[in-house]
Amino acid sequence: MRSSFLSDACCREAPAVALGGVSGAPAGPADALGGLAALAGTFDALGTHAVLGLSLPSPTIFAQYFVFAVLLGGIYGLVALGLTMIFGVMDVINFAHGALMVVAMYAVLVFSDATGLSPFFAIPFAVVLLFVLGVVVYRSTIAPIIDAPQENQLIVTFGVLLILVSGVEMVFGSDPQQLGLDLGSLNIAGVFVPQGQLYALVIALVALAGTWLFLQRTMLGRAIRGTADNRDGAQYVGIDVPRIDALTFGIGAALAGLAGGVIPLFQSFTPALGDQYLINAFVVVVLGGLGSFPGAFVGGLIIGFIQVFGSAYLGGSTYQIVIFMAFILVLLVKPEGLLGGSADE
Amino acid sequence: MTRPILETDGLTKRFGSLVANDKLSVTVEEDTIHGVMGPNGSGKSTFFNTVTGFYRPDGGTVRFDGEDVTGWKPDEIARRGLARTFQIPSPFEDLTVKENMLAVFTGGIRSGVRISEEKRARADELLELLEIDHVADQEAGGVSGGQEKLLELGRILMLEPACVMLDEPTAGVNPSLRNRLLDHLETLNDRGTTFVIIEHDMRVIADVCDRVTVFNQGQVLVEGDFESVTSDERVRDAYLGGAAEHDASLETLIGEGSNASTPEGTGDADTGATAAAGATPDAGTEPTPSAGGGAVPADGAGEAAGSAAAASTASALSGIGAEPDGEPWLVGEDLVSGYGNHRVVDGVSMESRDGVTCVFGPNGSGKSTLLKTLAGVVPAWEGRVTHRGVDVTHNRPAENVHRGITMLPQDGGIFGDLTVRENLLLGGYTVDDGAVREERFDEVLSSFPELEGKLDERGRSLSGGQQMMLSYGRAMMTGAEVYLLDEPSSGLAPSLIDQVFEMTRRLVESGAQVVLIEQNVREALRIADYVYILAQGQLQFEGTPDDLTDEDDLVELYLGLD
Repeated sequence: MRSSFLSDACCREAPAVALGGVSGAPAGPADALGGLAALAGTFDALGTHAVLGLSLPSPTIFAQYFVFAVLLGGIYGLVALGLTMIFGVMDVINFAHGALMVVAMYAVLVFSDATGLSPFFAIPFAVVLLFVLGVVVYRSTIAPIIDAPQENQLIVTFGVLLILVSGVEMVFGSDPQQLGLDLGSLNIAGVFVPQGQLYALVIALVALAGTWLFLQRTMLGRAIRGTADNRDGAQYVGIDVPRIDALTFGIGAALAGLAGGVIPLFQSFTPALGDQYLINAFVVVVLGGLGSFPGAFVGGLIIGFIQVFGSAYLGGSTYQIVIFMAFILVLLVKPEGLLGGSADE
Repeated sequence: MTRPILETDGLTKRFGSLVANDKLSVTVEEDTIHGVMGPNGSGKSTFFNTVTGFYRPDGGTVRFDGEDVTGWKPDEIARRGLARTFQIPSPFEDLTVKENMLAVFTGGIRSGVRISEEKRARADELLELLEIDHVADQEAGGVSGGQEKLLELGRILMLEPACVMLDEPTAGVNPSLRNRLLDHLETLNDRGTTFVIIEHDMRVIADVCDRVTVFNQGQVLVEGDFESVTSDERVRDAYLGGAAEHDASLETLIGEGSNASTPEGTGDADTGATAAAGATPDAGTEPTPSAGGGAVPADGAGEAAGSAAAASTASALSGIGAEPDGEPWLVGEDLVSGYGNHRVVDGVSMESRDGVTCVFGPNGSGKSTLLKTLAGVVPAWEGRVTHRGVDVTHNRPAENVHRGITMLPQDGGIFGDLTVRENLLLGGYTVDDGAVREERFDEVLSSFPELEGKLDERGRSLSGGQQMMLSYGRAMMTGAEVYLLDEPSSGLAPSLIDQVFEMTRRLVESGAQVVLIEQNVREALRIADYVYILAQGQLQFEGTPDDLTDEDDLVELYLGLD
């Protein structure tokens, strides 16, 4: 297993290829999760000059895993942020979240290619585009059935997912795409910090802080939280609940746009990549607590750590089993999630 | 004829600290129709659930047909011959009416494999008897609400029960169908089926019930025939709100029950009660004479204290610039509304007037739905709502808040996860001018000083009384000129009721018109300037409290008697 990563150690695009080999799916989409794990393996190999076997890692290696875990966890947190927000306010499980990310990835690609500007300029473009797309999706599909049973909305967002992903696939094909961006890595005392992911983490943290400040400090933010808390009560103070729903869905989609926009900084992507992130994002959201913002990041970090350390020290895809065991454990012990429902006490 | 078929002895059911059924001993004679009545929350449905095995009793026994069935499972009890219906019918919607009848599990596993001719014959006979044979082949999901009720009854009768317990069989059923249903009940009763029915419609009780048991606060209040029960003073107290503190004899009669169970029911509200009493000592120091029929409109206790505060609050709180002008601001004309295919409000016209406009009526009479229709929460099917002459029938509640109409829902509607400060600030969501919002915020805090120390606590951490204050305070932040209050005192300790009325008066003194729904009629009459009484979704009375001097009339109106 380790050796299959090693063979690709030299090239940045290794993850897609390595994973394709491991999963046995010919020309399959890059598995984001496996991809990052492979990346971890890559740097492990570089750092230790290909120490095979099960000897205990040096502090440097451990620090390397730690950095990867935090970086990966931050991305998961960012992915989960929009999902948890839409659920918290509207009680809608947005299956299209991953598809919205995919739209953002390709929006970044198109924008960069068309303008020749750095992808960093494309990210704000993707965020704005996705906000508009989110409002349109909300108004056209979810608003008419907002009072219907929850499974109706779930199915509708699933339909949106299929339409968006298929649309992207029809235009761009299903081959992996990349920005051809070589950001390189920082080397801090022997620990490599891939810059693409570092930027992504910084953007994720800024997004978290910005969203949090918006929700806590502005009247509109309070109105969103009030609507999340008591939809009936909200209308009695003059909050236009359908408008808040549209705004929330727009912001949720914009956060998906941000997450989708940063992923091309460090990873090649296909139209199917969104689904892979989405599944883990669901786990993250449930782990952290539905509707809880800090929970999204705590959950993201937990998954990041399990994945990076699990793929380093356990064989194959065992970490996936550990992730879902942690998931089930939380559901059994604290079904409201680690940081969910704490307000009751 | 005098053999008891169903007996409970000391039946007790608790939910946490709430004693829903408190040592109920009820005897139902064979071949009778036995009515169970009582105000909202008196434990009627819990009694049904406990007797029929849906809840495990915490004490006492249930004997049915000479056998102890305490703790039996619901299906065992049903097959033993004690069947029941639920308040909300739940047929298999995708099966036809007849299939629904045949789907009843009449006994033994074999009945589920092959449907006997006998069973088919019984189903046909019942469908014919209940006069729903013409819809036998329609899907049950498509029949009317009334036919659904009949089907529910029919399904139960498939079990050939000796005794049937019906939970509000006529709720949401139109009058002609109701009469048919009652005819069927009497026919079946003549054939030897015993019925126990929970009913809010007093006409039904009067028409068909041989005997009536009245519950209050989880206990049996009175048992007897309809005449003796409705003329009983204790029953009036239970429905119209006790004036116990003003009447020593009543207090000794029912004081024990109400004092013991109310604080438990309201949870932590009693801590708020003591705190609140400390904060506003003026409330309730002046006992108002209201024990008799004579209602004292408006200008009673608390006004002197309230007006001083109101003089200062009026400035910021009546942000719309409202001044009483003798005109009704919010007017509903011929309103019809409801849920699904149930008509709840059936052609009601009412208006908000200067002062406090009270809406009374028994449970299920459509008071809340009427208020929600006025506020725009429940869409009006027919009729129209105008605010200061402008048609607001199709406005959403949020748009109405912008116009100066706000509603306090029954649960207060506060944001439990947000802090008290945020709750109040959101009350001013529609206020664009930050300075006005700040000013109102300060005014509200000076009206409710108790909230000041709690600004950074979450709404849900407040006591019941404080949550109610927060709800009032938040509504005042909107600067509304018409307040629609849906039973603000419900769920609060009795000692807080005075305070609710005090705050309600304060809204009036700030220049607003208040529409108030209240269960405690006698107390509410003290502050009412105008009264509407609803029953069965229709207006039974409107006028000033002075017109209601004869309490016998009030009882009849309130209980929906003709």
